[in-house]
Amino acid sequence: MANPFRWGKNAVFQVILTVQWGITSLKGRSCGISSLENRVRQQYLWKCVAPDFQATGPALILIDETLSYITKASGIPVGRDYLSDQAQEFLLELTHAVNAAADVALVLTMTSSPQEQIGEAAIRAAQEIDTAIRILRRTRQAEVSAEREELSVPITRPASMATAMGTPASNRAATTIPLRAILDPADRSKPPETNSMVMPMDTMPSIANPNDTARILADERKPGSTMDMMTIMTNRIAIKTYGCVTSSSPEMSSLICGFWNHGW
Amino acid sequence: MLPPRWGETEGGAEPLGHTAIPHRDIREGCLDLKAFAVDLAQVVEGQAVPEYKDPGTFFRRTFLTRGLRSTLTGVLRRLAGRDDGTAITQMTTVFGGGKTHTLLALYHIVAHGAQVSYLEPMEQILAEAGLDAPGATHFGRYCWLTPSGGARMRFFRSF
Repeated sequence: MANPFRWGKNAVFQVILTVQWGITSLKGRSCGISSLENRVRQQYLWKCVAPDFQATGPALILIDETLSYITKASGIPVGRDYLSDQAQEFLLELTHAVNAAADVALVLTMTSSPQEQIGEAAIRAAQEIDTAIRILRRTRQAEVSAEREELSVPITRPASMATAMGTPASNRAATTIPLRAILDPADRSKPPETNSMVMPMDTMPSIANPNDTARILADERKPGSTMDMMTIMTNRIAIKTYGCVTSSSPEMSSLICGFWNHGW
Repeated sequence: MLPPRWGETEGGAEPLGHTAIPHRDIREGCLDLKAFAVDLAQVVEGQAVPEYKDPGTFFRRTFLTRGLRSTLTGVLRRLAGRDDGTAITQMTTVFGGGKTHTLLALYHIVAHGAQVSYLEPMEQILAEAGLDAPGATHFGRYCWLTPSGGARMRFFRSF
């Protein structure tokens, strides 16, 4: 294959492989010139990944279902290799190139268990890619699923809060979470409107504290905490508004205790 | 015996439908299953459902888990040139665990930074990342690969 760089006979970068879907895989052979390798990585590889890309500037590369590429390419012969081998080679080169740049991020998705990696090529590719990117610096594996204590939050978040979450800050005051009326349990003729009692503090938009409302902040519900006290109150006393109170807030504890003893 | 429907009471327990009100599409039985099969390319090409296509709607319906927040902040720091960013992130969530959803969140932040920066979740993310609101050119360019449409590779340049 012709040397596209025209850097003379001593600069040997022998193999430039183009895979079917347009990615160019670069397999460089060390020629003792590190600057040359950097030049190739920074300039040529990025142009192969995306022609409009420059070697500098922030760039985000998202690769979804990585192993799907490998699996689809596993049976396609290209030269003495298979397309899947070239794709893996490309991914490894890409990880090196990303690491070499200061403001480029690569996010790729993989299946998390062998049960989801169908096919020998996919399993092998997953192992190789996993090993390769683990040894690179500043690489992390991310788990974004909800953790156990987070599971209740989305389903208990009131619709009004979800609206507020997606509302520009300038308009948020108009869509501030309406504090839900708590019904006297004795009054069963009216539908209860309470639908949110446990919320991490950081999911809560700021709420004004008008005269008849409490600031809603809650992070956990433990027996004996102010949160639990509030629950007790709402079960026994008909009040128009309620607040979920963080148990770590002395100020709110005092406020709730005052309400508990003397009324609002 | 049929299970109680939303809003019906069984015994003395408070019905779930009273305490956790589902979205309208679930309540009315018109949930579109296509909403579970999101494709990055479809989002960019405007062919996805609004829940994924529209950045505001997307973030309104997205609960920022601890892991998601950590991933987003790490990537944004990296794009901003910070030393504490994450260069390469390998999503290893189980099937249905939010891998593509995370990529979509990143895409919307980078591609529609000016539109989403003032939303509550984005304010959280940017505050955690220690970054200013991303402008239209703050994070520059993006590209992605998706297996959609067979083995074709799709390139997208910046806005």
